[in-house]
Amino acid sequence: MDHSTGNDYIVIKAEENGVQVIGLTRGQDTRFHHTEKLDKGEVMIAQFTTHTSAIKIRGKAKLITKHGEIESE
Amino acid sequence: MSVIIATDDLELTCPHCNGEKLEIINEERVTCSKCDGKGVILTALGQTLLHFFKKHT
Ligand SMILES: [Zn+2]
Repeated sequence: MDHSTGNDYIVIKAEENGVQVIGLTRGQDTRFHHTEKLDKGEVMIAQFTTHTSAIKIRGKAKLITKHGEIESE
Repeated sequence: MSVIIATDDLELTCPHCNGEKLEIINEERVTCSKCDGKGVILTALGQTLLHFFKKHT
């Protein structure tokens, strides 16, 4: 297992309908390999893996990471 | 029981090219690098269904 990915995960709670969670590939070219739509109140727990090195959030959501809480708009 | 799956549950428009499948690099229109020119990005459900159909056809 790639230890640089650890078991890091983030918690995403949608604060409006149609929040988009987009996973970006690990490696030289960062493509969008996966997307998920959350409606208001829905929660997604997403992990950084050997495939996913970055996660992009579109829309109003509350995020909880090991670094603290943040809100997207 | 009925199951209704919306298109949004299967794929979402690529936010990089807005579904245009192209992006502009150095004033040239090239295939969108974020979605590989598909214009959409599949969800987990979309990928699951796609793999299922590929397996059984
Ligand atoms: Zn695109």
